[in-house]
This record gives sequence, C-alpha cells and structure tokens, in this order.
Amino acid sequence: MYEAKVVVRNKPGIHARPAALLVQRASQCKSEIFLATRELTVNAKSIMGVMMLAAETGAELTIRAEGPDEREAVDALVAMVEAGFKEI
Amino acid sequence: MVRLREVELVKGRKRKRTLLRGVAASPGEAMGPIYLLVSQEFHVPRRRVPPQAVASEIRRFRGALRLAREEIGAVRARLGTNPEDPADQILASHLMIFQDRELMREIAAAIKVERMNAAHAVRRVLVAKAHYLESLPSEVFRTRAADIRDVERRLLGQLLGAESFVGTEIPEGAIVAATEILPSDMATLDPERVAAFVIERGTLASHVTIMARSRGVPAVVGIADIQEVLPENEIAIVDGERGFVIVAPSRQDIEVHRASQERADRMRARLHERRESPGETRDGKRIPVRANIERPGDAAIARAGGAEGVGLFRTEFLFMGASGFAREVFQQEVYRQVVETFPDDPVTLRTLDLGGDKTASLMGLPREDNPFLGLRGIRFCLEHPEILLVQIRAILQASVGGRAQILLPMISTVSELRRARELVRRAAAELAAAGQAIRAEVPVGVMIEVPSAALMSDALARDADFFSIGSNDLTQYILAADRGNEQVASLYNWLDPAVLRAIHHTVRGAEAGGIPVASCGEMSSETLGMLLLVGLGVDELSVAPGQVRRVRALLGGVRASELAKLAQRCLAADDIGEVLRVIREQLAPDPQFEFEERDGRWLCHWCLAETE
Repeated sequence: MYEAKVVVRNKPGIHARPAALLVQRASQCKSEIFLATRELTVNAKSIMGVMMLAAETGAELTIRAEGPDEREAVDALVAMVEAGFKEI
Repeated sequence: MVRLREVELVKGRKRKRTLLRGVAASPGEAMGPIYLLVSQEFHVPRRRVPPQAVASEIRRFRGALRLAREEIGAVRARLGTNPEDPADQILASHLMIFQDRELMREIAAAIKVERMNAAHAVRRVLVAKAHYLESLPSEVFRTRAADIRDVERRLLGQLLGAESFVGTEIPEGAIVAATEILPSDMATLDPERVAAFVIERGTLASHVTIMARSRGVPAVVGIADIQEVLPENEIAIVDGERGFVIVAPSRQDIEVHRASQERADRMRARLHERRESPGETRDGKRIPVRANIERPGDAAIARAGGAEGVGLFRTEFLFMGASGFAREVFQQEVYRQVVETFPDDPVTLRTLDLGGDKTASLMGLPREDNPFLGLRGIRFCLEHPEILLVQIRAILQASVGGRAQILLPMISTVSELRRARELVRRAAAELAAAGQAIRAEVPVGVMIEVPSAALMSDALARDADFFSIGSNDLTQYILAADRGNEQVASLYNWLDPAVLRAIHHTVRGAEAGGIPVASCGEMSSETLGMLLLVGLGVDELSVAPGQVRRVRALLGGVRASELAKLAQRCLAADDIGEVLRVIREQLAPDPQFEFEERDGRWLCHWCLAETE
C-alpha cells in the first residue's frame, strides 16, 4: 500500500471536468485506488464516487493505492491535483 | 421531460377564454395548440424479488443501462459530438455515470441482497446520492444533484417503459409549455419546430429564453401553475411583446391576431424588397447595423442576415456547462472563428459578464442578497484577473484574423476602466514577449449600462475607444425597476425621459472625447426605441441576427434630421406618457407607422406602407 496527501488547489474544487479527468486517469491503473477527505472515502475509478467526495478548494485529500502500480498511480493523481487539473 | 400522454379532450364543452399575464421574454406573436412538457414524476413500484428472479432482474437493469448509454450516444451524434460544447459535456458526463462500475455494483447489490426490483433499487441508490449533494454548502456541488436526477430519470424511463423526451417529437407549430426546461433537454430541443414558449420557471437570462430571442421565437415566462392553466391541445395565443397568453381565444382575439400576422407578412414582403438597403437614413446618415450573438455558430447566420460585423458577442455561453471556465485554447478557437467570419468589419467581444441573474450559481459563486448591485461583470473579473487575462489573451490572439474589439461590461468608475486596460496591456506584452502575433491596436470599449457610467461618460471617453449602450440594464438601473418583476414592470420603459436623458448625456460625453457610440440593447431593434437612438445621435446599432434587415429597412425610410427633432422634444417631456404623445403626434401622419390601441396600451407598428 502506498499513500500521499495533497491539497486541492483549483477553484472551485474537484467538480465536473476535474472529476472526469481524475477518474479517467485512475482507470488506466491496475491498482485499487481510493480518495479520502475527512468525511468520505471513495473509489477513484468511480465518477459517482468522486462527485460525492465534493472536494472543494483547500480540501486535504489522501490518495491511497494498492496493487502492482500503486506508487505510479498515486504519484500521477497527486501531480494532477497539484497542477490544479491545468485549469485556469 | 416526458410527453404528457393523456390528451384532455373537452368535447361539446367550450373552454372559457382566459388571459394570463406573465413576463415578456422574447417578442413576437404566435397562435397554436399547447404542447405540455412535464417533468415526469415516475411512480416506482416496489416489490420483493424472489431469489430465483434476482438474476433476471439484474439482467433487466443491465439492459436498461445499455439502452440509456445508446440513447445518449444517439443524442450526441445528432448534436455533432464536439467535446468543447457545453451541451455535449453534460451528456458526456452522464454517459460516464452510466459506465461507472462501482455504481452499477451498488445498484446490483441492492437488487441481490435487499431483493429490490430494479426500478426501486435505482431510485433508492440515486435519490440518496442526490440528497447528499443537495445538503452540501457549496453551490457548485449542489447543482450536480440535477445531473443525478437526470440520470435517474433516464434509467427509470428505460425500466418503466416511458418514452424519454426528445425534441423532435414536438409537433410543428406547437406552443411549448413547461414548468422548467433542464439543460440536457435544451440540448435536444429543436427551436425550429416551436411556435412559442411559455415557461413557468424561466427568467429573461435563462438559456431557453436567450435562445428564443436569438431565433425569433416568442416567449413568455413566469406564469404560475402551468400544468393547470394551460390545457394540452387547447389553442392559445402567445404575445411575447407584452407577456400575455390567451387560452381558448375568442373570435375577436383571433381576428386581432390574424390582423397582426398579416401586418407581419406585409412587413416581411416589403423587407424582402428593401433587403439591399445600405444602412443609411433617407437624408444620408450612415448607421452600420451589426449583430448581437451568443454562440460561434450565430456569426454565419448574422452574416447571412446582412449584419456588418458583430456589435456584441456575449461570451458567457463559453463559461457555462459542466466544465466551468473554458480553456484558453478553446476560447481562442471560438473567437477566431467569429472574427474571421467578418474579415472587414468589427467584431465586439464582451468580456465575461457574470453575476446579476447570469449563471452565477453555475460557477459556484457565493449567493448575494442583491446580485444586480453586487459582484457583476467587470467587478467580478477584476477580482479574478486570472480569468479575465485568459479571455483577453484569447481575444488578442484571435484579433489577427480580423477586427476584434474588447467590450467591458458593468463599468461604473473610470478606475475600473483603467485597471482593465492595464490588464489588456499586460496580456499584449506577455503575448508579444512570447513571440505571438497580435494586432497592434485592439480597441477597448465600455458598456454604458450603469447610471454612474452615463453620468461620467465625458471622463470615460478619455480612456475608452468606444461606447456601447446596454439599454436593458441601463433602463432598469435608471428607473430602479426590474422588468422581470411584474409588480414594477410597468415602470420599465426605455422610452422614459430619464433613460433618454442618460443616453443623450452619454452621446455628448462621447462626442467630447471623439469616440463612437453604439447601442446593443433590445432598444436598438424595437421600432420607437431605435428611432430615438438615431435621433439622439447614436452611431451604430447592434441587434439580434434576425432583426438586422428589418432595422436597416426601417432606417432607410426615416430622416435623421427629423428624428433629432423628435428626440429633442422627447428629452423635454415630463414623463413617459408625454413622450408617447409626442412620438405619436410626430409619427402618426407618416403612413408607414400604424398606431393601435390594445388593452389600454397602444402599440406602434411599422408596416412599411407606401412612403417612397
């Protein structure tokens, strides 16, 4: 198991398009991946789950993966969140 | 939305004529049968699935999922799948939900473990999620609940065998009545088939009314209990000019309607004859008529309609839909397309005008007690320079292909204009430093729509390259009357002498600064409003694409010198009543204008009678 913490930077948070991008990226990985805020833990490959997470700007997110590409998966998602999903 | 199946047939008993008053949302008059679109409240049966039927119930659910995916695919194909189109993004995000394995496992588990029937399981699981989202403090996440309800509706539609609402089912020429039209339904609605809209929960800024105005479909909004007051298939007349709907019209109503249709037909015929009018008055004053557009596709329509460029490109559309703020590359692409449609004429792009009643909730902005006096237009953009800079950069890059101009909305002080101009300079310098080609001079103009801007027009004119009068907002701010509020809507009138004086003052300020004044509000195409704008000395008019030829033909039949006299007399009037008397006195002898009294108000029709 490998995990990392990251703070959501883009405004207004992981809403529609960022959620879709995140799920698409997570779905390319073999590992099981979970995203957790203080309130919820969800499957990173589920768009409904990520929508429910409703992570706003400033929310702290734990990304945890378990599987053959766990490290790569977590790093990739952390990078996406940190880059603010390349949103303006 | 689902087509209401039960058709109410009132045989042998004639329905009583009713006059309903709403808010005029898109001008024009139409008569036709009422076609009711109602959000279907599905009755979801609950039964316990016996163990031996669980597998087949899960298969039924998977089948419904597949059909829902295919349905979305078909709608997207019909729209022409464009990943940057907000309508397509909504559908794409729904498709992702239908492909969500985790969610499917959850619903299948409810069927298997709790032995729920498929429809009940779908409702249980999805409603709980929608409720959760609705409980969140952030508006942007709360609005996602609507997507879940859309998805639930589509799945239940498949499971319970109800037909989904598809725009093409609408019979040609129907009056479409609805409590509300959801974003995903808008995507499938073909406005060509609709004679008029009557919508309960709609505002002048909602997507459907904006679309209605740009396509010339009459619309009335704000009529309560639509499902009760508008019986399916009953004949109704919709008057989008005055905000009336007459259900079961009397013989007399129909005659009045026919007469006004005939007048409109006469006008169209004469318009066709004058279609090559050069856009100047009979005494030779040249007034370019440009178009107001919403979407890139409107540019070609405007050009075909004879517009000399774009006087107002509302860019908010790019910022709506599932993705929030549009990326720079996409913006640039859209602006370039519009600018290049008019290589020789100016294309005026208004920067993002959020706030007021416009889409703020979609952006997840905090709710304001008084949004019209809040963080609107340029105020919002100066708070978020990163958003404005992206838009300006995109405009500057698109300017290479033609004559782009930047128009700043809701400017209320000179310092706002200076700060915005500074951002334009910064963006230009950044692009130049990056070796990007941009046009040397991209004019920056100010929307005059706030009383303070009209009062300060001489000072603003020193820092602006042009003005554009936004009469809709200027009227509501000058008179402190919301035209969407029925109780004060009668105060709202751009012919009010106070509004005319504000415009007069603006034109004088512009003259002192040597800059041109355009007008892009609805006043520019309304017959009397347009005549007074010309009389007050406005240099350019910008109107809906469908109005360009009409306005140009109207210009060709009047003399600027006479309109200037008329405007002077109106400026001296005490109130709106006197303005209207003065106008009538001066114009009534001219046979091209026809004055008609109806329901205590009189209307001026311009019907192109023989004047030449």
